[in-house]
Amino acid sequence: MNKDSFVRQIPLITLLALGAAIALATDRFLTPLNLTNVLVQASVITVVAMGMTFVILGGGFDLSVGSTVALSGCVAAAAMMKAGIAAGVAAGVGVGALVGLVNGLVVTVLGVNPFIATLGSMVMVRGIVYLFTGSEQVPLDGTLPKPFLDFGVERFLGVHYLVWLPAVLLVALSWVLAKTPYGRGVYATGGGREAAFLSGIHVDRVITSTYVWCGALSGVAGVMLASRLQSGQPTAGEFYELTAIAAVVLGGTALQGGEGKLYKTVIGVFIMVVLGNGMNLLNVSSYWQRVAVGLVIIAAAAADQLRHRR
Amino acid sequence: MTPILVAEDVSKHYFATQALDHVTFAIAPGEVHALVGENGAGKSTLIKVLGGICRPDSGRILLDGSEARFHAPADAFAAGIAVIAQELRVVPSLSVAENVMLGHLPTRYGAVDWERTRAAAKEALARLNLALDLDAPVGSFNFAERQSVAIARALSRRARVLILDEPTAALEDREVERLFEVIRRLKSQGVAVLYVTHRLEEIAAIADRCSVMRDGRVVAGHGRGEFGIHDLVVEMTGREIDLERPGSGETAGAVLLHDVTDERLALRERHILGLAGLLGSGTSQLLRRLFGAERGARYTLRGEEFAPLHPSQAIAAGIGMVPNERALGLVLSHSIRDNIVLPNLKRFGKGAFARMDERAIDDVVRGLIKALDIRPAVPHAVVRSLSGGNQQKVVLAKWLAGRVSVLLMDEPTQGIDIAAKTHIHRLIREFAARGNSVLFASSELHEMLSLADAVLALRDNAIQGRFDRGSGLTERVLRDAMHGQR
Amino acid sequence: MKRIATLIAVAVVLLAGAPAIAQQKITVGVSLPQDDNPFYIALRRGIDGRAKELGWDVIYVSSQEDKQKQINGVQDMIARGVKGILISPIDATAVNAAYDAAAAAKLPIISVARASTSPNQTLHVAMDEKQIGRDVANWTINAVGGKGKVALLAGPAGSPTFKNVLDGYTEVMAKNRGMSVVFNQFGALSRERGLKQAEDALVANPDLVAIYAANDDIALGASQAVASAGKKGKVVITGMNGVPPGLRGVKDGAIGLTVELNPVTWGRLGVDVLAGYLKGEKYKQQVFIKHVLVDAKNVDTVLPK
Repeated sequence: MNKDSFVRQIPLITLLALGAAIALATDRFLTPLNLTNVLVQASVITVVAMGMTFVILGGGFDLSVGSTVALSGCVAAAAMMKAGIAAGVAAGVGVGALVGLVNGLVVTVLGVNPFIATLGSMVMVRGIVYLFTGSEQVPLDGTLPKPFLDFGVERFLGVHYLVWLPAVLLVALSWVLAKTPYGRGVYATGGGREAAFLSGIHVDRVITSTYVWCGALSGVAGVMLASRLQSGQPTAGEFYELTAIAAVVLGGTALQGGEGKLYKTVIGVFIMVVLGNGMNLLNVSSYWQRVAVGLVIIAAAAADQLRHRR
Repeated sequence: MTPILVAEDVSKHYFATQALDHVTFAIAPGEVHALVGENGAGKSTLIKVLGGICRPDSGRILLDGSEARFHAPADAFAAGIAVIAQELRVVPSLSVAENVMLGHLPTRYGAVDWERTRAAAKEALARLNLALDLDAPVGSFNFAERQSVAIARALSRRARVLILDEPTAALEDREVERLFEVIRRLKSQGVAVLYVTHRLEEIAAIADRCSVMRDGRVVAGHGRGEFGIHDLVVEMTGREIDLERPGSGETAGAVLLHDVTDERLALRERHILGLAGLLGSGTSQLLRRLFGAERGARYTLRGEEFAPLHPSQAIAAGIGMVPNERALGLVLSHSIRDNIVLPNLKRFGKGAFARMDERAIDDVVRGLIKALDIRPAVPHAVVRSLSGGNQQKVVLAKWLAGRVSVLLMDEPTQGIDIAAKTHIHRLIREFAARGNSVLFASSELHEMLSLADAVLALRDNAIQGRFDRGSGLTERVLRDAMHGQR
Repeated sequence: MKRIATLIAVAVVLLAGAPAIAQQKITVGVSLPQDDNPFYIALRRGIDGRAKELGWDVIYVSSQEDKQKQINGVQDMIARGVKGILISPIDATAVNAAYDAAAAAKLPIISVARASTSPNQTLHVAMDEKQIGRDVANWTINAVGGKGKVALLAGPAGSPTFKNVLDGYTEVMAKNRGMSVVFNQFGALSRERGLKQAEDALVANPDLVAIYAANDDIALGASQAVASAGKKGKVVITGMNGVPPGLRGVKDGAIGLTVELNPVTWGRLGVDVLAGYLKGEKYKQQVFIKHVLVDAKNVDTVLPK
């Protein structure tokens, strides 16, 4: 294994080393119950992080994912109470895609810097969630349809539905990115926007589409979370954007765009979730947990800089 | 006379390219030394090393006989070496006085002393025999005047070596004369002037010595009286220019593409058309308009109306474009294979979300790598690590894979070594010979003369004239048209 | 001529009097730390209800846990001419500037729920935080038979209210030899956090007998974790606030105990105290609200219809 491929495997090695260290520190880590918990705890944020990866590959950035998760969950729950599960899910994912579309258009048509544009929508969407729900959970009285609640708890072939969903999405979306003309267009747009343009790629359309993917996936995550929490929560999704971005960086995808893979982001997510789980099992104080997470994020960003120095 | 600045056995490489190969170079005080060479010969790199912009891999720089190590351009500037780049680097929004004294504004109790600033600026300009309105913003002056401000800035820092990079590229003849006067004055004041140029006829007018670079080496040095243009060109290119064998070597066929409003802009089968123009004359914009990267084009393509609004339309019509910067023609972080596929996605995958025919891609890529002799011959090699010549071949491969019939090229051999240059010229001729058409812009007039069947001279975004081979196409005629002389 | 003059005089008197008549309506300002917490939503309902009965106008300013915003909001209210202020300060000391502003304008400023250290605080209408903590702890010890491991899912770090309640709780727990605290984490007041931390706490300590949750949202999240681990009925969960989802949780048996602070009554009390103060009545510095422990035994009496 030469130096370059070793560097590329650092995220996976980090995850394994972290897991080993925690397993040595507490025998509760490797129990089936805990490992199942970790998978389920990671499921929602994995979907969000995959969406974030799309946007970053295309050269953009999306800070509004957390707010979109909350909005989608509440809209889905509300719609579900009135019109059934299918309508609820469609509404949740649809509203997420809509937020993504708005983000994409603001960035491409109005030319606003993605950081600022999605910072604005992050704040706006959160406000809309509170307006929509009156700051209370959805539904306030009553419960969501049983099959929907079951989805958040039941398993298929021993694995939670909540875990199957991101796994299936990972396979399907990885294929789209790696093998289809659309996927090549995304990578090219992120890797060299002008060069992509001069090779016939409709870069504005591609960029907007990455934001729509991100919004829609945040919508899916919102629906998943509503199932897990048995309600739509307006406070949901706090700090998701930071966790998602940290996961992308930890996984080794460059923040400038043009290079990276979805599975790498998933490894990054697991590093964050395993770290948090380990610290909880060891009852590390909350204050130290925050310090640890912050250090990990900075270390990952620094490693990203060194790796991708252009 | 002892030289003031010496580059001793200096070498430098960028990735796979050896930009400077054991170069030794010296310039004496009060000497005007011209440096010539084709694109990619190493002139820019030598200037960067002398001016402290980059560090050599090996060898040393001697200033006044002792070794100098520059960690930043500021060090070289402070030591008395000033580089006046083609882009000038003056701040348009600041005044003349402030620009001249930029970086070392005199202060009084912490605040800027504007009186001393203006006095110093006035003195520096006086050395150039020039008086400008010291308070006017520099952006309000023309290129020649801004260039004088840049030179004055160097003088205000007591520059003893002035390096001028293509100073006359954007000047009219009258202004060139003025610049020569300035140089003669500075020469008499003991300033050493290193004068990098493409314009060989200027050397006889101004230089004391001339060094020729080729492929990263200094291959010849001449004194006054030895500045014959033909000899210099042979040294620069390493071969004789064949003005007898015309452009594409073929007879032109039917018109493929022409401008509705100006019939001089007509691309024919088996025909190579050149575009000659100074910096800012509009050559790049014209090419971009033809390609749909900019609006405002109305053409006829194979008899039908053609007004491309986006490059994808031009590509679908069989047109390809090689831009004037590699970063615009390639996604540098991607592989050879990825780049070749990019404009041809539709060919290899029907529909945005369809699976692509990876086998077919592999075959096409391998074939092109072989045909164009791209090195390293590894489809997954990242394009950034390739030499300039090989990178440009990948750009060509993109369009050959798509079987375009019209190739637009902006500075096709910029930054490429001699061998690759020859190869690319051959590829262009072969492309045309197959029944296709080429329109290329180049600032190297002998490249233009050797390759083109006809040349359009451009100035201020308008075609000034068309000169066909065999009926009055000479360097002099072209220059006049580009400069606006009758 | 005389008639027109009289008409003009009457009109002038009416016009002059109109603002005076309008001024009979009292306007008060209210500044709460959050808009989205069910507790504060209910508190607001109480304030609005009582103010309406008294014919008062109420101006609200939003702060969303932003201290600077709360200070600015109070200053704005004073500028708009309120007669008094009800405030639940985000932080015990950081918003003292708001109290100073009220004192400078000679307006009463009464803290509701959370308290401030500012000497300009007129009154504090509150719950006896430490006592609540003690009561919850005693109830828990009773419910688990005096011995076992406890997990604490505490409120946001730095909030004095939650800290005081927790202190009361841990004080009692420390005195009791049979109980031990094996998990103690701060966090957000959200269901998601409750679920995640409870899951991990249960894995680390499979023989856990009790979970202390800083509010009902956290408790409900924890109850899901307990249910999925198959330990419903074996782990006792306590919450706080007594909001409808929490009360329903007690009825369903998901939560063992919540504390009804009845924020609606609280809000009404706050308005009454302010009204009384404006009339000149005297009050003690600290006006306590009675809190009610709600468990399966008495939950039916407090559930909303």
